[in-house]
Amino acid sequence: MNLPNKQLLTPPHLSDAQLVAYLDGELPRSEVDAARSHVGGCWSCRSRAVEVQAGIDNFLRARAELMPDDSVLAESRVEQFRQRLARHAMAADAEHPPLGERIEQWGGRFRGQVAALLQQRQVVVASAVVVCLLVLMFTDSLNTRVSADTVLVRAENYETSRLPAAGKVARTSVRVERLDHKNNVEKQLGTLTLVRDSVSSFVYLSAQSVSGQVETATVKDAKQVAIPLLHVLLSDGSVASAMVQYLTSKQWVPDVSVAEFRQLAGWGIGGQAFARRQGGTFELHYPFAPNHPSGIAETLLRVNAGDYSLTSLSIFTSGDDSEYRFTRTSFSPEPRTSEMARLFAPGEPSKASSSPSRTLPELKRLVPLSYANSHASEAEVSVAEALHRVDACLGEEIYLFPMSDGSLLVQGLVDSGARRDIIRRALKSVAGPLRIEVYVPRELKSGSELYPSPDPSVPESSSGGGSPSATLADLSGATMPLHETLYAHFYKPGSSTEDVNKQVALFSNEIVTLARQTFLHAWAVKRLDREFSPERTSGLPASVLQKIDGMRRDHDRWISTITHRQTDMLSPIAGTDIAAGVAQAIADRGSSDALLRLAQEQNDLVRSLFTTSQRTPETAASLTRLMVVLRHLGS
Amino acid sequence: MAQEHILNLSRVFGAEQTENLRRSQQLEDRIVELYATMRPSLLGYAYHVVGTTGDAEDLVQSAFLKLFDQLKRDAKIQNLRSWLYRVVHNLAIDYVRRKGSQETTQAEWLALRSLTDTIRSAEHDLIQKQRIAGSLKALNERERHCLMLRAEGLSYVEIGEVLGLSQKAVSVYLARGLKKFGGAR
Repeated sequence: MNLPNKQLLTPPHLSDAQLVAYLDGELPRSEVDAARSHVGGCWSCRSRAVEVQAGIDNFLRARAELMPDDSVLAESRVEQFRQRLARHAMAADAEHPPLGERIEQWGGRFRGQVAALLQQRQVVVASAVVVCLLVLMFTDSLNTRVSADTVLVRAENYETSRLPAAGKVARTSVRVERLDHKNNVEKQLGTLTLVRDSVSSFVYLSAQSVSGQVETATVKDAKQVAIPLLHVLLSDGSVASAMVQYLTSKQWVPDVSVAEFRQLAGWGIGGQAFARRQGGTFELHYPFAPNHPSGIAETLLRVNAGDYSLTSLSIFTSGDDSEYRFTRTSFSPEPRTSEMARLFAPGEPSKASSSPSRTLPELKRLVPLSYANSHASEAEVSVAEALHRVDACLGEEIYLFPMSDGSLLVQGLVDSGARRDIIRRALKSVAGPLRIEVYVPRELKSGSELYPSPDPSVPESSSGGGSPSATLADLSGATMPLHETLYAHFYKPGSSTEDVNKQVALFSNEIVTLARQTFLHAWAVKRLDREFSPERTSGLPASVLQKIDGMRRDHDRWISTITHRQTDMLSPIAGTDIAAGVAQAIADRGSSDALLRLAQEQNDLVRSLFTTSQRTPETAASLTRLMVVLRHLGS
Repeated sequence: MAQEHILNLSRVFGAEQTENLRRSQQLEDRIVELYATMRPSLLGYAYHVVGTTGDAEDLVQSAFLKLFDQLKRDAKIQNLRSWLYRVVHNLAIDYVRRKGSQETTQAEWLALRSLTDTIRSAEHDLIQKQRIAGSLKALNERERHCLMLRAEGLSYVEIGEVLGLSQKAVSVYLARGLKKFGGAR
């Protein structure tokens, strides 16, 4: 009897490699049909295919957990690469003849590949452009020629939207000061607090002069107490009496609000009102008629161009060339606590009195604790790590405060709103009670307050440890100490002076940037040591301590990488004599203090050699020392 | 306005040199654009080999500088993606050999990183990371590289070009790698 071929009876199972390739769509075309029909009919292979797929999912999940999350830093890294490439390109140009026609040849091919890779990015860019256009069409965010009345209406809408919701009160604080522009003198006159109640519609007012005079009242209409308030706030002898008399006669309430500003501006009946944009602020100018009996020359309202919130109100007087500025230092809703409600109890509204019968209940204020008076928590380490991931530990004025109620506060100052968003996003995933108060400079001007560093023994600014902040290298290179050496190094027969000077400038810029980065990483290590000292971290679990060590190691590695690159750049410049001197002994780098000292020294040396901002050093000796320091930092 | 700018430059440098400068600048701009686009995935791969973001970033940048040199020399690059991965791979391997064994780097790397989801406890994170570290240690270098490159979306042909392997060998390493990784977890 002829038996059929054994293989026909039991077709071979797919090997593991075939199965993976089959699932990946990578099996050779000749094998695909056979594999498909086999898997379709074979329980065993189908089951193995499911296992392989689960293995792939498993691997992808594990990989995702270990990948670095530095998407938020991409922009700065790309900019850094642009600088590096520019320098590299200049160096390459000096060594090779002009590109000629060759770029065009690969250009088409390369453009195609880049275009495919950038296709997705173009969609994003297009969407961003549309959003920007919409923003431009419907807001004044970039408009410098908007009318004063338009801004005033928008500010009024903002005020209306911030009226206290039912069951809440709105507290406004105003600082009053006189700015003598002739003699350039500023003088604080007093403060005013207003609390508006959503339930009773009463308003509580409290004015206090710098001399200690106080007036408080709870009234239905603030006008009822305008006169005593004005007397307290503008009682200083230096204040223009004509203006005080005029405002008193009109019962003007010295509040920073659109309603009060409208009233004030309306009395002027002067020239044409106009708006001017100053950075992120609209200034609305309403001039008074010349020789107005009040002595007022102009009133001015400052409005935040981003959200139309009011910043300050100013009255300019013509006689003494002074500005009386009423700055809103805070404006926020608060819970209507029982204590607060008593202020507005029916039948009890009172006129102003110099001895207040009822005082404004203070909200329970939190106090930041210093490192010496607090213990580090697991949550604090997590927050520090989140800040570390977005480089907020590198020279930015961002501090993490342990607060008196056990919560945490991240507070500080950054350059832009975009940077603030990055920091907020990074902190989003951190669990526990955390408040974030990160400001941009214009917000600080409107009265926001920054706490001093929680570690008083460390200076607050890390911009250079006492040295001036970094500046770009002198592009002309004319008086830079190492200019001649660099020029000789980059000069190639046939190259123009301008080209060589450009290379010198690019080189200097990069080396100065790298030196500053090294310093900032060393500073961050020092800060970590202070923030998470053994005293503060005793008792924390080992896994948390490992996180702190991880941050330290991260900075160490960056220092090592950057200083190696600096050494690579400088070695050809230094020459053999200097290189031989580098072998000498040097102080220990071990502690963060020693590390910071070395980083500071290399930063100073680089600045003295590659910029014109410092006095001329002993070039050869400084370069030798720099190489020694870099070698040690990179070890 | 742009035309006017070029004309002014021509007056300074002469027409031919100006054209060269312009083209060189175009090349730089395109390389930077490409870097911005491909950086995340190349960085992910380099990071997996060397274990630190700083060094990985440096290697990826070096690869793009090499690309710049290649294009200036009019070198033929058939597949830009696999070319870049190959250069990054070679630079990374070279780096690891110079620095010492990869096992150390891997361990340090794992100790360094933390999961972004900090809601889970630190102990849990550590246990999780140690488990992954154990599973990865079960793989040999080739298997690990094949799996990482495949996870970056490279085809078998491209992985072969990066690692110098045949397509079939790639599928064998992938299958073995998956099996070992699954078995070790």
